[in-house]
Amino acid sequence: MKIRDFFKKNKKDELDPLSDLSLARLKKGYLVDYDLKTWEVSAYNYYDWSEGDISHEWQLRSGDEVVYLEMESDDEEEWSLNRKIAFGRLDSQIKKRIIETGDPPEKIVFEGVTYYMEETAGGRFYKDGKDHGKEVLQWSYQDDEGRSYLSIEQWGEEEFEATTGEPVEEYQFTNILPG
Amino acid sequence: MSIFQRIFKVTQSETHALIDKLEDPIRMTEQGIRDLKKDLQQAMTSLAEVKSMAIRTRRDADNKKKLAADYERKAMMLLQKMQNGEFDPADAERLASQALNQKEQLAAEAAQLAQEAERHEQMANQLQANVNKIKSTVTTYENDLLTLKARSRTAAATKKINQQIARVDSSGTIAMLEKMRSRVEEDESLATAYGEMATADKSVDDEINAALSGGSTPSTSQSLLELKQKMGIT
Repeated sequence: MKIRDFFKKNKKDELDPLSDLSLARLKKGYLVDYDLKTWEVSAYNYYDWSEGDISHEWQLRSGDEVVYLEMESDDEEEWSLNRKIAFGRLDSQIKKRIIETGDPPEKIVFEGVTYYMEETAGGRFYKDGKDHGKEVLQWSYQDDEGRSYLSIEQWGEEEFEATTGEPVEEYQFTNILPG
Repeated sequence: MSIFQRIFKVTQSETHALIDKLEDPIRMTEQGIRDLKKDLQQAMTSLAEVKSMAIRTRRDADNKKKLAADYERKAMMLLQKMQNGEFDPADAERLASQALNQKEQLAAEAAQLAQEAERHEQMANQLQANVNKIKSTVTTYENDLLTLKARSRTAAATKKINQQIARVDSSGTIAMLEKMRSRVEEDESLATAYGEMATADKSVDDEINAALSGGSTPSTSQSLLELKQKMGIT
């Protein structure tokens, strides 16, 4: 390694504590405050929906609570905070319908909220940003006002996962600290 | 003062002048901000450590609490089995007592860990306040530097313009403008002169037209009379 390269590398590794600590640059081990709690980033994953369409996902843990902070870059960055729910809590007909027809219903009612299908996507999921992704199908729903989200993911023939969530804003996350 | 002292003084003043020249206040401020950011980074690392410790301790306290509740539940189940006649009363009581001992021990550990977690959390809050203070200071300094850089550039440009206006820079723009002004004035004089010459050279047609339109000169009237006589016109 040349001396110049060595200094270049050191400069690159330097972290600007003001501009580099942003939500979109969260890494595993980082800490961030949200909703009066400190959350530790326990994993970073991403979904590649092809054609450059990528969703970033950070798994945040505070005590026993685990949430998933997701960022989608469309025209602008869109953030959401999601929680896993047991797939069995959804209407049992949903699973049956996916297996039979390949798609869930256009409308799902869960805990008194009616969700309408927004989009369907197929892509690969990269856990911890690792090289080999896993195939996944995703159906995204939201309520009338776009304040509640529901998502169904299919990982195999009969392997399903569901999450509920809500939109969040970057300013709600504060005190980002490198781990 | 001896000659050596004088030489020393001269050298000293020259060195100071050279150092003053080398000191660029903007670069020095930038370096100062970089140093402050390093301090901030270190403070943030310490804060992250304390916060992580608080999180871990709180998690441990919660786990111990849950485990204590588990032992209590087990003790209750043993007593229920004993009550239902499914388990030997002596064994049931012995195991239930042991389970309760475990529960007490774990509950005490949980309480101690919870206190420790609280201390860590308080410490983290204090450190967070300090880190926020440094962050705010660095941001203010950075903004001040940006403003000062802009002001410095504006001042330099203004100085240059004012120097030109004050004709300090005679070989510069003002001199060129002066040169251009005299050339324009020269051209304007020339244009006026050409204009005057153009009005002086009137054609015959112009004169005829002028006479016909009124005001005729005496010499013209004389010629006219002669022409009339020649033509027999009265």
